[in-house]
Parts: sequence; C-alpha cells; structure tokens
Amino acid sequence: MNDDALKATKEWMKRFQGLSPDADGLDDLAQAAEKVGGRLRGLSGAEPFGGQPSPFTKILESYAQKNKKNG
Amino acid sequence: MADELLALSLTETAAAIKGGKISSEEVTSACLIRADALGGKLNCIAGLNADAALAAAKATDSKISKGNDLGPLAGVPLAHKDMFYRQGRISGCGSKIRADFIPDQTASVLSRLDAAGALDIARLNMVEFALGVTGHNEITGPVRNPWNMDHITGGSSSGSGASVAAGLVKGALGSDTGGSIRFPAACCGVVGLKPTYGRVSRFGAMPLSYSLDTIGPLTRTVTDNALMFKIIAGFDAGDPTTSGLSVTDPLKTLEDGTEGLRLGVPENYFWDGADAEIRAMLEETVDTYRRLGAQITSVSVPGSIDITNALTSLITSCEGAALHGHWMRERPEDYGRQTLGRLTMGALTPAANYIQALALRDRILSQFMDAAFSTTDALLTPVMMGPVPTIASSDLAGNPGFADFITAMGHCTRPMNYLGLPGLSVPSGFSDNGLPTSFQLIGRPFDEATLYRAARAYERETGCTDKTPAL
Repeated sequence: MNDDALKATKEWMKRFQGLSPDADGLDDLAQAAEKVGGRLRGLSGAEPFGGQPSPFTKILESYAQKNKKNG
Repeated sequence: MADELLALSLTETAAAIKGGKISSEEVTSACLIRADALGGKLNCIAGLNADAALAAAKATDSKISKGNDLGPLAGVPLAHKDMFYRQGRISGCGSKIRADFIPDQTASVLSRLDAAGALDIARLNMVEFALGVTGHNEITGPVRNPWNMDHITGGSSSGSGASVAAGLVKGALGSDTGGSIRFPAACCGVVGLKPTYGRVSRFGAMPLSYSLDTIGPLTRTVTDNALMFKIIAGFDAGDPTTSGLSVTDPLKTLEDGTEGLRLGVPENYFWDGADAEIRAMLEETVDTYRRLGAQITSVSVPGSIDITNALTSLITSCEGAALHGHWMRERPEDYGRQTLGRLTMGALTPAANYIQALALRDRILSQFMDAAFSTTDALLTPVMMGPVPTIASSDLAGNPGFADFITAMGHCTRPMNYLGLPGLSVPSGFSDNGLPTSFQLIGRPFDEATLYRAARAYERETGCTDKTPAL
C-alpha cells in the first residue's frame, strides 16, 4: 500500500470507526483484510436470493438428526 | 503421599474421594502446594483461591463422611481459564482492561461443575481476551510449557494446558474460537476438546466471537475429558445458541474400541505444510488405528475448506471489534499490540464481507459433510504442522507478518470453528525437541462420543497419556 492509500485508510478509520490506529502495522492489517475480501468475492455471488439464513445450531442439528436416521 | 495424590487422574481422584480412600482436603492441599511451588515458574495462575478451596474441601469431606452423594466430581480440585465469570470474584480475561472486573453472574459451565461437586481452586492465565494461538501475552507475560519452559504452551487457554500438564489441577476449562483449547492441549501433551458449536453453554463466559466461541475441557486422560464434557454439555436457557438435542453419554461407549470404525485420512489440505516429523507421527498413528481394527479411508475434502481459516479470522476480528469498540477508542494503549492489531483488522473489514462469511458457512459445511463423512465416522488430522516452537521464536507481537504466522498456525484447527464441528486433540508422543506431539480427531455434529471412543482406544493401546513432565 502506498503512502496515499495508507493515509486514506487512516482517515477512513477515524471517520467511520472513530479509531486512530498506528501507521505501523496498519499496512499489513489492511492488506490481510483486502486479501480475504477478494477471496470472498470469488466464492460468493451464487447465494440464494430470497432464502433466509438459519441459526447455525439448527443447521448442525439437522446433520445430527440425519445421521441418527441413517443409523 | 503427595506425589501419589498428584499422579491420580481426575477420574481416579473422584473415585478415591467417593470411596473414602483419600480425602478431598488431602488432594486439594497437595494441588495447592504444587500450585504455590510451580505457579510462578510456569506463570499459569492468575489467582489462587487457597482458603476457599480448603474450606470447600473440608466441607465436602464432612458431607461424604455422613453418606451424602455430592456428585461425580465431589471434592476434585479443578481450575479454569480466567474468563469464566463467578459472581463476586475477579475475572481478568488476561487483560489490563478487565484486570479488576468483578462479574455479577456465574458462568453456566462453572455452575454445572459446582453442582457435580467439583472445587474451583484458581483462575488460570490466558492470552489477552483469548485472542492468540501461541500463549504470548504482552500484559501478563507468557505461560511456560511444563515440558520445557523455553517453549510456548499454545493459546489462548495457555494456563489451562500448563496447569493440567504440570499436575496443579485435575482438569480445566478452556475456550476455543480458532484452536484455543486444541493448541494448548497439543503443546502441553494433554487431551483437549473443542465441542460442536451449540453443545456447551457460553452463558457467563467472556465473549470473543458469538458465531465461533466454544467451551471445552482440558484433562490428562481421555476418560477425564469425557466425564467433564458430559457434565458441562447440554441445553441452557441462558445461551440461546445451545442445542436442545440430548447429550449422548460418551462414557457409555468409551471402552468399545475401534473395530470397524471408519476413520478418514484427508489426502488434501490438512497435511499441506506438515513437516516430516509430524507426517511420520501421523502415519504411525494411522498404523496404530489400523492395527486396532479401524477401517482407514482416504478422503478428499472440498477445495472450499481452504478459505475457512481466513473466514474464521475475519469473523473473529469483526465480532471482536464490535465487542471491543468502545475500549479500542478510549483505551487503545491498554491493549497488547497483537490483540489490538487483530481487532483493528475487524474494524477494517466491510460489514458485507462479514455477512457473506457467515452466509457461506451453510454451503461450505454441506460440501464438507458430503465429502468427509459420507464414508467415514471421524477424520484424523494434525493439530499443528510442526514441533512446538520456542517462546522467543514465536514472539511476533504486532509486527508485520503476525497475521500470516497465525494463519499458518490455525491451518488445521480454525476450519472446525467455522464449520462448527467437534475436534479432539490427543497426545501421540514427543518430537525430537522433547515437546509433545498430538493429532486431531474431527467428528460429525454432536458426535463427540465417537471421538472419545477412538481416542480412548488409542490411549489404551499406546499409553500416550501416561508420561508427565519432570518438574
């Protein structure tokens, strides 16, 4: 990340999160967040448009119940 | 006599107290003396409740002598990570920010252990706010590994791993959001369970990530672990994410062996990056299971598993940043650099990415279940990719590169938090540097009993939990 981008990130953090992180390490953190964001964009997009998310415990329970049914 | 008392496992201690062969006071005194002698060296104790513990032990003995049944853990000295709230007692969470925090409620897991008769003799050190896998803590200092004090304990339940391994207590609770029970168990040579998400109540426990946090036991033996799990598991109205499904008693099938058990060995992802020593240990473990009658099956896990490590980190950072936002703004100087760095990463992440990370969970779990569990009952993987590192070599604090280091550490553990599946860390021996090695058993949702059965068969065959550190 160049100096301008780093400065913009710091300003964004101050404006939208009320945080003033040290410049040291911010570059590393921003790049890590950017990297995973890019990978996510590659994976999502095929999500059902209209379904409601289920509570995760219920999803796990459904596998346990299926497992029980199949013996 | 004290050595004999300290050598007893949790289960043996409970039986001996119940049978009148030893008193709770004797064993509690022995543990307190050992904690006093070694707690400072290992830096594993946040606070010792010596007077209260001895008084409780005496009261237990008195009630038992009158024929009262006080529960399966009557008089057994335990201690827990300093993030399980007990009304009126400090719970510092390994931090400066909460160093004086006195909760007004008691964690459900502690209440359940209390009801089972267990004693809670100390608060155990931990990584600051449970955010870290190595055991380093810039506020309270690193907990030291009982097998070699120059090495890490793993984190974040660092004090729990060290205290159990060193025989200071018979068992301890930890929390696991990305590997925080399984790492200290693996590094310290004890047994550690990360249960299925929703199996154990988090009510009254310090939150880090609502979507990923789990609570489980660290113990010296498999049987001890199964017993503690049985006591703490089950629905709790205080934690709406807990499941109403009944808890399968893992003790009922514990000694059933692995004849016919279908054990999957992933041929991709989990072994990527494992060093030669770890690979050799795992191959030996697979051979042991084959000898024990298990059907070993090679399994190809879906490619989507590859991103789950990063998504676990993303969710933890985002939910952590939301929980810590006010302190991050008002008291940033009171955080360790790595803790603040990881929380800051959450503040840098767009909310839509966080929601997508959660939305993808169902799909990736479905792919994983189909690929991994259609032909197997459990999977066998590494916990760590190499030998336990030294404290000095893994002290990255908040320096550039720490995020990559943590990602590499969590390669085999974090996916299970994302998928919500149970993972059991089982000791398997020692590496060339004299530190413990371990493997991980991964199960279907709510099927902890199968993991315990498989681990117990291995333990019985190899005596993998017999050795204790010379301190």
